[in-house]
Amino acid sequence: MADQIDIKKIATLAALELTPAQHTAFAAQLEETLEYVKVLHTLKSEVEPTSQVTGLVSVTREDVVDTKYLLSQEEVTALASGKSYQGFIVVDQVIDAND
Amino acid sequence: MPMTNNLTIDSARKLLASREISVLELVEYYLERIERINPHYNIYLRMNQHIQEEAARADTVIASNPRVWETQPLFGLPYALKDNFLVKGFEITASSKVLKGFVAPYSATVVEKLTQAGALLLGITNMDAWAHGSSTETSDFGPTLNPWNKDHLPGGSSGGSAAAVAADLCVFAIGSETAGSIRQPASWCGVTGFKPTYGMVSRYGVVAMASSTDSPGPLAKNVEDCALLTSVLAGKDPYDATTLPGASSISFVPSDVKWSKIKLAIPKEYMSEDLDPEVLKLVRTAIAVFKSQGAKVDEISLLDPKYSIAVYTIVQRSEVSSNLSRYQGIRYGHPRAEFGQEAKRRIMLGTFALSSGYYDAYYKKAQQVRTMIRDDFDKVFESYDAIIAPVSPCVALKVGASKDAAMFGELQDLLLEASSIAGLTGLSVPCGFSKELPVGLQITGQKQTENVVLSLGKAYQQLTSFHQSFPDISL
Repeated sequence: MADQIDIKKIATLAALELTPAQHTAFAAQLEETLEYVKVLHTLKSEVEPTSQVTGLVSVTREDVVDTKYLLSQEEVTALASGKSYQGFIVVDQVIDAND
Repeated sequence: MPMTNNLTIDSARKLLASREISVLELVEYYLERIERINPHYNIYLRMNQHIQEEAARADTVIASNPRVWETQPLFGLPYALKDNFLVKGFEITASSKVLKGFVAPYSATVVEKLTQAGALLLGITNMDAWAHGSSTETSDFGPTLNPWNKDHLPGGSSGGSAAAVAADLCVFAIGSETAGSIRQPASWCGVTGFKPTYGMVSRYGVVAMASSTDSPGPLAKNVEDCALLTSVLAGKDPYDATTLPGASSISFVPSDVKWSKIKLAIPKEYMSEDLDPEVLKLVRTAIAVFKSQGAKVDEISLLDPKYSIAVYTIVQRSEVSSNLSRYQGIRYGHPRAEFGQEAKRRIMLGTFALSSGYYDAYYKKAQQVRTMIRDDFDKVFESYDAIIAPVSPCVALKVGASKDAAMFGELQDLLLEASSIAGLTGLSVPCGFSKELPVGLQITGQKQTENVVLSLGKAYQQLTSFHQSFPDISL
């Protein structure tokens, strides 16, 4: 048996709201997937982890502004379709009045 | 009008250069086909509304500069683009409702390079939503159907791009691969698909899936076209720090193969009896073609693909959960509730694998086995020029096959994942038909040995004609 997944906790961390049906389905499917990946633990792997394969480290570029890639405030707020106000993006309330 | 069907880049350029057809006529040839065929196959999601004006302008340029192709090798050639490459002013959605209506404020480097080379964007093709899948069935805008048989899937995630080439709805198409998303649909649709080395082509402006393996690349009618397209696409990009420093100076040109010097490796784990016997038979026939030319062919052993499936599942889900965290429906796009089932499932597993207490057991362990997979390949490429194997364990599956299968993609791509995890380059070429559906052969090479792989692929296509077969779509 793979590790028991706390679906509710993971959904909160992932900022996802799940329906009860999704909750049940994911619990079973994620267990199934974890059961599959347990095969990794049959391999001895006392080696360094590889997070990327290019071998490149600390890549930098000239610290100059490329105006071609600058977006105006209008262009940026236009992307937030209908949710901008006087040049700003409108966000949902995150702090409760009682907090 | 001369024959315009199934044009390769070279044949299209010849027709345009000799003025036998105009760019506008070529564009109209595709538009007519798309109008007729697309409603039945759902290959293109959106069209470029300005393509005819752009074509007419291109014709004026050709009239004044008949040698325009010397500086712009793709001049006037209409292409299809996967729905995860940003194009300024175009709605680009990664085939997810989360991005429905999102108009890109800038263009991907790949798109900029194609435009500079003179190519004309015909339209945007369907894909698995967020590229999560190998069927193009998980698109929020309906599945794409396989041009060889409408009851079957085109593969994915670049299924729309592969189907656009197969159904002759463009000269060439652009796709992207995280683990098999170019090569597998190329195989299922009977076209040629090429994954360059990770870092050879910029990811800037491509909707991110798993950043440590995402690799854009071409799907086309033959290997030569893929080589030319890679020359256009590849290059160091200041906006993608993972692009390779030498990428800009490489010419991707297949050369004549000196067969007596070629050593090919056939991994026995990739020729397992679990595969479709017809697929195995066709791949063995293809191997015999290389042998008959004088190549030395040996059976070798690689780590069992079950390990790469496990590594890929953890690494990909983890990177997905991180990359998709930016979609909160505030600055652009729609709220997270719009994510489909597959995206949610992947985000959930990735979030779990990266969460406190489980990181070492899953993510770190997977990254360690990733090192072993890379080393395993390094050892093979010390003695061999390329690895030959089937692309997919089977031919195109039927519509509905991916439904509720939590690891559908992983199992379809089991022969491709290891090469993606290791960042290798690989080609899928058609090698025959089983049950009237195409079968693909993979030719995989060490990082930055594109020309070895392309040369072998071109040689194979000179000796066979499977890549010249196209489905008969009578609508």
